[in-house]
Amino acid sequence: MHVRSRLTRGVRFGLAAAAVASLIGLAACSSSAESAPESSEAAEPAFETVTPGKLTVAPYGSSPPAIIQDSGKLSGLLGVLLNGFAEHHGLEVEAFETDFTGALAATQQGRADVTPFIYHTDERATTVYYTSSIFQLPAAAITHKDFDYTGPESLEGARVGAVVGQVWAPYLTEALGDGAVLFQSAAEAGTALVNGQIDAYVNSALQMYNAPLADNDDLVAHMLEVGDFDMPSTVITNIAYNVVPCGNPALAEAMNEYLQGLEDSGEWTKINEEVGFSEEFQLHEFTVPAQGCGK
Amino acid sequence: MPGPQVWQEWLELMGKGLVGTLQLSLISSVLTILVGAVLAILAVSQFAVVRGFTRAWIELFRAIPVLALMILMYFGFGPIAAQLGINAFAIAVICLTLSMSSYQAEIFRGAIRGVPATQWAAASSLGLSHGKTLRLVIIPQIIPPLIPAVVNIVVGVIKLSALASLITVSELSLAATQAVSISFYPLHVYVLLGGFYAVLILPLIYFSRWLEKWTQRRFGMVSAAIDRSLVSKYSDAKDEAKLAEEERKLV
Amino acid sequence: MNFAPFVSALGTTLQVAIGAWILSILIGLLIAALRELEVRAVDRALGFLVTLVRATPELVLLYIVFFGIAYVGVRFDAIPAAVIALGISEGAFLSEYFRGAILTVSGRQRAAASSLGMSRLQTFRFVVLPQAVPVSIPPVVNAFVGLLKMATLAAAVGAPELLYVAREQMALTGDILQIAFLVVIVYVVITIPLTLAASELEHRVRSRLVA
Repeated sequence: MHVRSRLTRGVRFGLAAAAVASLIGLAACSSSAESAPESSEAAEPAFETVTPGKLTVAPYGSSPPAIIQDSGKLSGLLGVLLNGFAEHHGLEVEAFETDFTGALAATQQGRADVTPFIYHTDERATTVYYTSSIFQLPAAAITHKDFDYTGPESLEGARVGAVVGQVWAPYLTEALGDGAVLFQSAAEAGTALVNGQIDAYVNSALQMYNAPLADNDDLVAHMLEVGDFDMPSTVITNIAYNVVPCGNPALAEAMNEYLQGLEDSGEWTKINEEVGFSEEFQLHEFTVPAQGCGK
Repeated sequence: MPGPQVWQEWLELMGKGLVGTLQLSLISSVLTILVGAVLAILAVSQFAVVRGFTRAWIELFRAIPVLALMILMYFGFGPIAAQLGINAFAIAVICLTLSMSSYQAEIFRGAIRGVPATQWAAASSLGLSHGKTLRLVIIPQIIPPLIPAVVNIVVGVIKLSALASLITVSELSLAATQAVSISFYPLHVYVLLGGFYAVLILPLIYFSRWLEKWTQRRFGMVSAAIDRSLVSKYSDAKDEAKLAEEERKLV
Repeated sequence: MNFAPFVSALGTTLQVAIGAWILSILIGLLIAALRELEVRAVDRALGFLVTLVRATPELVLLYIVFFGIAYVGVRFDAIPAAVIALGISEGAFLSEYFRGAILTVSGRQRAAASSLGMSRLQTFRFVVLPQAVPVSIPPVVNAFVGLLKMATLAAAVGAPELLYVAREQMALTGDILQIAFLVVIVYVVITIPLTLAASELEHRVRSRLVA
């Protein structure tokens, strides 16, 4: 019967598709099963990585010039640092491309080895292990020249942009309430400032050197002072670190060692300059913040 | 596992975000239904030009992802938006409405077409105009099956409102990102976020089921796709057959 | 403008959308069939699960599948996780449509089949299914269009798909308008032919079956 054969074929096709789907699922499961760590052919590594031979980096988008992520390739200050570190240890850099929450979760769960450009709080330190400091970013409120900025009070009632995830954001939401406008990236916040959709933008003065603010003559950065918006000194000058999973402090230590090596040889200053980090943002003495893993 | 203080902090943050989500969803849902109804009516218009233009509009906005639309309007057309004083919330409402109203229009249109053509013919032979036919004959018949579909759209609006967080609108998902940023517990925060959305959506789904049963009792309309308990099922069919069999035996 | 990242991202989007689509149809059919068996406990349990899945944002489901399930030892890669999460989510929605489609077949037809001596299974295969299929075509096509757009969630777990790459490129080049238009055009170009073909298909199937 015509209908019968079509249906039976339909049922058979359905079963076959189900079988194929489950096979694919099983393959996916097994392909991502953790392989036992092996030592590389190069010198005995002092640390392990998620995938042997690869350094999996999980940045959360581009924040030039600190970190630039383009189709899996990293550049910018942290990009150069991580690429150099990987090369030094015979590893290939692989980028885990996702947003802030995904990047963080990936590192915490050990799917990625490191998430760069994270600031420190004691609360955060209980969930990830910090490397030493890498650079510093003093806070500024960037406005158009015709905005009458006389200090943080002059921003009350105005729309002030910040990047969610950055250290200054919670202080702004606390102080300004609805006036604080949160963006997902520095580029977006900068665009909104240029467009006139926000009146002021709080980020580091470093942003003035990047697109979309760089070529704009109409903008001026007002440096913030300790106490503005209740920000303590550790927040006014934000220190940037990288974070690794709590279970892999050896990786952090290896990175610290590598960075110190760059500083000692004078390479570090050169790299900073090449990338566009001027002196006020550079760090040459590196400190490790209070760790909290396992607390 | 984060301590109770941390949970409290999160709940506070997300409570504020909840207000934003409610405002955004409510306004967008109402507008979506209104605009969808207008589009559906235009889509069955007597004038071919109107029908064609509406068709194109609907297809266009069904194809474009809401997020792409939001980014285009907020960042792409930023200078214009700034000059006109249109803020992120307004843009989010506009994009949600534009997108979902096209789906809504399709649902309305399908419902209108679901009414047999004979009804249109009968109404016209009674001298009712196109407009009166719609109002007095067609629309009252299509309300019961529409309820679950409309609720689906509202649920869709609530879920899609999360995208507004990417263009700075203060709502639940943005609050969740802030919560993650503060304490670094992404998974816990997202489960909590899911809980908030479920608390918004589950009552809607149950309300819609109740509403379907109520309209059925009130208007006496049975729509096959909707009330499972009223439509005869296999067991009923078997009972009917058995009954028929027994009746035959008696004769 | 460099198109290369967009091309591979489009590939990711399509992979996720098509994979999730096939899975959602299978799951939807399975759930609808199981609920038609009329075992009370099964029906109510599945009904509750379906409602729960419908009430949960897809992103949360994806997080649970990708990050959450890892706690019990099972790890999926980004794309399979996205396919599974979106497949389950859309499958729950589709199961409701399939059930509705099944119920549009009138009780009289089933009574007639039953009185002809057809078993429940035969009735389902030869009477209900051929009529339910054309009614199911629009929601199934809609599901694909919806999944194309929901594939953007895959970026949240590391599968760079079209919208994510677009935003990445926007941040790098500052060409917001250009890139946004490009993305919109790509989605329109993929989706509109699909929906047109689908309504054509529905038209033909319907006219063949309307006796």
